[in-house]
Amino acid sequence: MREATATVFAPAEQIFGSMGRALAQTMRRIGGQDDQVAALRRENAELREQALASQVDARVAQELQQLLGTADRGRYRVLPARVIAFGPAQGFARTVAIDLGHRAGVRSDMTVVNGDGLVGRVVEVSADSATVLLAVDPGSTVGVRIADTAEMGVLTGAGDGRPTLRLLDPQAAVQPGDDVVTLGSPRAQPFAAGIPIGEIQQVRAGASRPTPVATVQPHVDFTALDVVGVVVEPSTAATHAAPRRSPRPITRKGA
Amino acid sequence: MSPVRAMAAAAVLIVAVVAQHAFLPWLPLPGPAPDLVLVAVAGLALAAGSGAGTLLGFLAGLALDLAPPANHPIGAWAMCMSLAGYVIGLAADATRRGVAAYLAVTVAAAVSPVAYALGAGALGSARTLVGEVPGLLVGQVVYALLLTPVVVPAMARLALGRSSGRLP
Repeated sequence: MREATATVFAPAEQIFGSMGRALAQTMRRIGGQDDQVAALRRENAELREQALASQVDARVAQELQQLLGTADRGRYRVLPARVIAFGPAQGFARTVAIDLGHRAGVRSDMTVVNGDGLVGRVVEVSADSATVLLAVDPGSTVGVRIADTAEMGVLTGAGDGRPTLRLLDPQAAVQPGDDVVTLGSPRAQPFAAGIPIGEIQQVRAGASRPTPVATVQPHVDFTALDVVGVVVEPSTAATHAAPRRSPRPITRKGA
Repeated sequence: MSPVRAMAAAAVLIVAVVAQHAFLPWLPLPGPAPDLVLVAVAGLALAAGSGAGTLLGFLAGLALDLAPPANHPIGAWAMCMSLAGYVIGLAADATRRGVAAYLAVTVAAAVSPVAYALGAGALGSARTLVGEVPGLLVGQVVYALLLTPVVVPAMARLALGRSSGRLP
C-alpha cells in the first residue's frame, strides 16, 4: 500500500524538497557562511576518512581482511541519491525518503552512507523512492567494531541523544576517542563492513553493568542530510567469505 | 460544507502533508518542524464542525501514514488526526468565541504526539523516547500557536467561503 502511494507522494515531495532546499541555501548564503562551512566540512570529512583508513590498514588490515575484508571500503559501488523528505519529529521515528527506488537498483536492507560515514539502511522501497531508517532511530541496531582493538558491540539509536554502544566482551577496553566502524553483515546487507560511524564519547562502566556501555558521537550530522549514497554492490573482498565447504578437523599424516 | 469545498479542503490537506515532510524540515528553525497538518485539520474542524473534522482528520492522518518516509504502523496518525478533528469540532460546536480556536489548537498540539505514540505503541511500534516528549511538546505548541492566526482563518474561508464570525 505504501509502495503504491509513494509513487504519487514521492514526486510531490521531490518538488517541495527542492524548493525547501533552495530556500535554505539562499538563507544560508545571505548569512554568508555557506561556501566556507561547506568547504571546511568537506575537508574535515576527507581528513577523517584518510585518518581512519590508514588506522584500519596499519593496525588490523590483515586480520580484518581475512575475517571480514573491511580494509577495502573504497571499493563499494555507491549510488548517489538525494534526501527528499524527513519523517516528522512528531512521529518520533528518524527516517528520511531518498529519490531512488527499485528502478535504480535500490533494494531493502541496503546500507546508506554519506561522506562522513554511516547514515542507515533502506527499509522500504517503491519505484522511484526509498525510505531509510537512520542509525539514530531508536529502532535501529547496528553491529559494530572498535577500529583499533576490533572489539565487537551493538549500537542502538537514541533519537536526539547519542547512540548507545554495548560491547560484547566484559573485559573490553574502550576509551573516549576510539573510532567505531560497522562490523558488516553477510553479503553486506543490511550493513557493509568497515564504514565509519563515530567516535566514543563517554564510557559508562560500573559494577552494575555486565559489559561496558558507551555513548558514541556520530560523524554524520543527521539533521542536515542531503546527498547520500546507497551501497548497491559491495566489493567482493568486502563481503563475508562464506565457507565453501563445511569445516573439518585438520588431520595430519602420521599422527 | 459542500462536496466541492470538502474536496478542495482534502487537496489542501494533502499538500500540507507533503510540505510537512519535504518543505518544512529544510527551514533552519529551532526545535521540531511545525505541525502544519494538525493546525490545518483544527482550522477545518473549527469551521465545519465535528463531522467534517473527523473525516478530513482521518484523510490527513492516512496521508501522514502513507507518505514516504513513514514506516510506522499504518493507522496511527489516521486515528490521532480523526480524533483531533472530532474533538476540536465538538469544541467549535459548543462555543462561538474566537479564543476557543487558540485553546483548541494548543490542547490538540500538546496531546496529539502523545496520542500518536500511544496509538503507534498499541499497533506494535514502541520506539517512543520518553525523554524527548517535553522538548517536542514545547516546540509543537509554540509553532502551532504561531501558525494558528494564519492557517485557521484560511481554512475557515476554504470550508465556508467566508470568514467566520466566531474565528480570530
